[in-house]
Amino acid sequence: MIEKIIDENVILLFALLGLRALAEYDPAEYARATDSSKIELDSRINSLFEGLGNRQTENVLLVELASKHSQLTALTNETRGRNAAIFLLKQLHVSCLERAQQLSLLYEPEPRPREVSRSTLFSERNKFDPRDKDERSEHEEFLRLATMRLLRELPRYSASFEVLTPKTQIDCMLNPPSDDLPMIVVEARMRLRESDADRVIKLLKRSVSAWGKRALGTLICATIDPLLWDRPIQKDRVFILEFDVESNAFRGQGAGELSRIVWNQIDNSKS
Amino acid sequence: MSTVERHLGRRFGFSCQAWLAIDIADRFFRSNYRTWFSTSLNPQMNGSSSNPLILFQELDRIVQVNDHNHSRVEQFRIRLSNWITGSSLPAADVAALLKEIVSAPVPAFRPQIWKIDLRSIHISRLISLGQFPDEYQLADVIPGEIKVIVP
Repeated sequence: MIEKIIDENVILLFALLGLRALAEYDPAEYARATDSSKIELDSRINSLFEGLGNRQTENVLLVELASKHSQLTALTNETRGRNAAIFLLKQLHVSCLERAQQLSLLYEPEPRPREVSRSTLFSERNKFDPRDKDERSEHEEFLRLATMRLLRELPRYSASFEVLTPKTQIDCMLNPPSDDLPMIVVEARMRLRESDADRVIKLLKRSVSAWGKRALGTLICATIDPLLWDRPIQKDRVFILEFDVESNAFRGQGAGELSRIVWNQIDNSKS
Repeated sequence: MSTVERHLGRRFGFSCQAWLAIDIADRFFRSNYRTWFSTSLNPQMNGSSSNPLILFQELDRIVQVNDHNHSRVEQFRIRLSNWITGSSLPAADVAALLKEIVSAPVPAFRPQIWKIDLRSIHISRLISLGQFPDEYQLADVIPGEIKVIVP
């Protein structure tokens, strides 16, 4: 099974072998791509190969990788027939890169661990960048991406955004396909600070209670203050979920837990 | 102070950039752009692939007619992939970005023309590519050094 052994290092290795071939036949184009010297690139390739260790003979993909590596070594050391070697290096560049691209399509990124959270990318953006989106559209983009991802866990639910109630505006309402299932009130925050958490959750609880006893609340955040990491993901009828925009996935088990409770309500109402 | 302006005798540089490259730099490189430029908008002595005006016209047309088989789109995909591969990003980011670049629709390559203020760039940052007479590169342009003149 190819899918089982595709890890990011294999994809990177194919791409690096392609880049190394490029460095050999077109140094100007190589300089456009990177500041790394050929020596640095070689050392990166070798250390990745060392990381694969004895696995190199274990499956077709790794054998292919080793074969490309030896082709590259042979072509870079070729002194006679330089024109033919350049032609073959060009082919090697394209074939390695295409292989990396092809494998990347099968690659499923894991949600990032919190320590290297990408979710802070919004705050890392240059605030003076005139092309930058305003805060409101970032929030909206985040809300919509997270909601659509959540809907995959809640089939047949439908979403209404920016729902106005007499007292407040709700970011999103998830409407159930049948009366047996609960309404879900969704609020999105780019960042949940420890000092703000209780107030935000209290406000959400108030919104949820307006939709009946069975309604649930979901607070989706891009970044959660580390001081809150140890808190339970569910308190009363409110769930706190952390969504990683880059991998388009929820961190932890929060979304799965929410889904489980929602579908349990059908079972409870039947019994 | 030894600026690029003083060395090249030109106050501004011009570059054509595709939206996808800018977006990736914004998300993964803290808005540090690896960009080439020429000192005039339409450098006569450069090849078409190093002429900002010709590149803009070409890419704009490609995007408008959604010409997904055009070789320029393929070339951009390869260049972006090479750039990501040669960066210091972790393997997981490289794999995810290769996937994004391969899957990107033609409109993701919509072009912009940038005017780079060479007065504020130290000469040590300049890389001469040498393929054409008026083609240079900067590895770390920041938003404050550019002005988008054709969005």
